[in-house]
Amino acid sequence: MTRADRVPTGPAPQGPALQGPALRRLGYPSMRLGYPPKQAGAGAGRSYLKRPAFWMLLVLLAVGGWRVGEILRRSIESYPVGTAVSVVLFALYAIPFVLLLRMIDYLEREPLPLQATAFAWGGLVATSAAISGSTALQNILAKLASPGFATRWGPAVAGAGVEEILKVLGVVAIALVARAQVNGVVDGFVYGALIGLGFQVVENVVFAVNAVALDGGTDQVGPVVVTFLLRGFLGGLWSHTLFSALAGAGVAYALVRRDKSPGIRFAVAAALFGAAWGFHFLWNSPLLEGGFGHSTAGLMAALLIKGIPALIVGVTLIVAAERRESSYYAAMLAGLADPRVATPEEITALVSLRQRIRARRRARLRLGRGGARAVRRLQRAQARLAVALSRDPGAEVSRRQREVLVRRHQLLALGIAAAGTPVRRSAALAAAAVVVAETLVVALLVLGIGLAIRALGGGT
Amino acid sequence: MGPARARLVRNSLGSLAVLGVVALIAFGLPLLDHSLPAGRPVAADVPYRVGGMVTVVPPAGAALDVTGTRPDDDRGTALFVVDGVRVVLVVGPYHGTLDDAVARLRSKITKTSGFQVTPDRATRTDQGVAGRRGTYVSPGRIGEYAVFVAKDVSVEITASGPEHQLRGLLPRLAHSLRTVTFGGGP
Repeated sequence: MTRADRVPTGPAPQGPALQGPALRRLGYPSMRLGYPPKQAGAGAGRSYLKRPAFWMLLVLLAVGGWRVGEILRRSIESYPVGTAVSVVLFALYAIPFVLLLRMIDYLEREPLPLQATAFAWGGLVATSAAISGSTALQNILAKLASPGFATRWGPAVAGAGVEEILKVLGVVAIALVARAQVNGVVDGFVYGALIGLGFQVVENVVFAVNAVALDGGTDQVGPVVVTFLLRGFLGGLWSHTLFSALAGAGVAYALVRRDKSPGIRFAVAAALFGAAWGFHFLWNSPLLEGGFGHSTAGLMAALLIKGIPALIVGVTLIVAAERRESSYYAAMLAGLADPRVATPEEITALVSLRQRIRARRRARLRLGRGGARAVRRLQRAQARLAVALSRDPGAEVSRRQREVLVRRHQLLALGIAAAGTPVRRSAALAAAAVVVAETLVVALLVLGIGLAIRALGGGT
Repeated sequence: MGPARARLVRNSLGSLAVLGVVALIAFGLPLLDHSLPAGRPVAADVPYRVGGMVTVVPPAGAALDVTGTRPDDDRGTALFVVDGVRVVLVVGPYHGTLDDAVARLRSKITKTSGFQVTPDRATRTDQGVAGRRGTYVSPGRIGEYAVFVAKDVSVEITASGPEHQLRGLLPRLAHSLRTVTFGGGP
């Protein structure tokens, strides 16, 4: 039985009833999801201009932009090459994260302006406020405890405390400006991750330029590359992007799960914020800083022990949230009961990242790149249709349905053209080469980072 | 109150709350920091551990500014304030020569707008570690700098302040420089 088969059979056990006309038309008179679908054009138009939160956001972004701009201006004046290289490297570094988030946010994509706002909040507002706030808090620790305590525990206490609060406020601000665009835990996860990514990129650029300054004040690229390796890769997977995603998911849960009592919603949000704070604290803390045995492998093991739990929690959370959301949209498509629009197998593949990719790879093997592209376009059109069905504007549904049929015909045409041909040998070889290349890249990455640690004197 | 007005009020309150927390962190914490005294007395003639197994006897009458002091196992910074002059020690792992270390510090100083360094001269600690010492100037302020390198560790010392106060401090500063000790102490 496919997931799509399971979902529409009667009301789910929780959540307020959704009684939109689309659901009734599709034969789901009372589907309980726990949160309402987005409204057509929600957040669009100029209604946000009337919201005080929009102007608050604008002011904070302007102030943050000015402060970060000043930092960058001074950096460029002193170290033009180092600053330019670090900006380029960390901008490129952000691309895989954005692509990953697009895969996570596949079915019902967040509006680009809001995604950009989230990134800007992290990179401009949270970063600029954290620079002064964290420094002050570490000074306070030094004054109230000792400079030694501030050295060892300051980054954990101030870093986690100040930065996580500032970042999660970004999700709250976005919800205040465009509440209708935060209607699922996945949405909060995505906004939170983008805020964390913005923070991570700007913070890393600042760190890289500082490394250049500390290295002797000459405009060298070496310290930038070392910072890029260490902060970008060694800690990059379980850094701000992941921490803020957890906290953002908590905010979204509190906002959208109206089927739960306020106490539970608050508790879940607090727990997820606590997890973000706790993982950040653990990562910044001096615990296990010497690694195991001071070898490269020992250091790597310590870093993995500190970082992997956050990754596991994050992946578990997003898989569960996505499953819930995708079940809802799968029901939309399944309710059409039209195999020309989406077969049960396609619906199953559509709601699972792994199966989506598998379907494209299968098409690539059979039909070449064009086949993979055609399947990707069909999947995208089906996802848009599912979202349109949840919003129920008739014209939009018709348009999206036509789009799906066009994509279907394109795929069928490719299939007919390739009918009877065996699996393309070149495509199979290319697929194998990709797997080998991926493995090699990962191995080289781990080796390179280990060597970077040794070069820094971390593993003697 | 109609629903639209209620939404507006809620949105206003939420916005103010967000703004308030951001302002509290960005401006409130620094205000609190500045309201707390940063100076700590240091014992006279007692070596102070800067970090990276390096100690120094601060100039007589100096107070430790804990906001600029961060001792660690392999590196550290210490900030002493004496008669309005700030004396900063920066210790860190270093694998180059003394000449390179001096050039690095001079480069850092000149990067600060308006500062110019004068030619340096040789100096030596009581432990026998060779170093270099020089002066830098900017409008209204002068500074002294010194660099020592030993045991894969560098120590950069800068002292800056109003000209009159710094000149009065020079004998005590010279004495303090000689007490820089590598490897945890004599």
